[in-house]
Amino acid sequence: MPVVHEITRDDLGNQIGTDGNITVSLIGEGRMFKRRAVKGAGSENAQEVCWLVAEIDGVRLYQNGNQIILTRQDMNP
Amino acid sequence: MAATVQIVEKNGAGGTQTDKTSGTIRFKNADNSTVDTSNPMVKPGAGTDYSFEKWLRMNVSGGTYTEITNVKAYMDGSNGLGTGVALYAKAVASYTTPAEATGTAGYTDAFTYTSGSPLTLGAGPYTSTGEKADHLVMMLTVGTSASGGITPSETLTLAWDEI
Repeated sequence: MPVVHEITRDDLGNQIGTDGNITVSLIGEGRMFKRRAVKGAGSENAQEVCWLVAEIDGVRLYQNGNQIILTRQDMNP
Repeated sequence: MAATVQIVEKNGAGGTQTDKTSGTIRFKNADNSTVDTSNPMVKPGAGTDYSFEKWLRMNVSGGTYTEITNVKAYMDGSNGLGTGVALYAKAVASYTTPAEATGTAGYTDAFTYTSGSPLTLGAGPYTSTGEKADHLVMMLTVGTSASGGITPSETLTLAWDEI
């Protein structure tokens, strides 16, 4: 079963995303969501992927495992 | 928690669903989801052999989530199906019984849809369970330069945003 991030809010309303190992905190305004995908759909090699995305003013942080990308690009798994 | 998402193939007048999330989608000259060598694509002596359409759709079968948005599909950008074999795709809102394609009008080469330029299936937001977003309709063509046998598999990705 693939790791799917959990997104919650703390007492101050900040958005907190975690995959169980790495936690990303979005402090203040912005949005956080999961970018999920089934790669290899329609084949026996299908694999689920989940990226955590935190965005402030068009700048996005993508987190997948130990990889973190900071960019303005709209990226897909 | 997260949504439990399937990719289903729909067949017949009623659109009977078959879960193809991790099951082979076999393009053939018949409207069914069976992975067999019946009703195969045929290398033509002239012209093009068109497959029946494959009607695929995102289906949320369970789980817990707030909303799904930005549903899209794409390939790896490189046609690995072999010489003379092409794959086409389009987004269609309403289901109709899959038919044998007769041309490529309305379709786009599926391999032009990549992670950097995906085919949009629906902006959403979508909630609850059931089928979501547009259908991904695909069909395959075989030309005179194709080789015989079963083609290599290709990589279709269905992606979405979720909170």
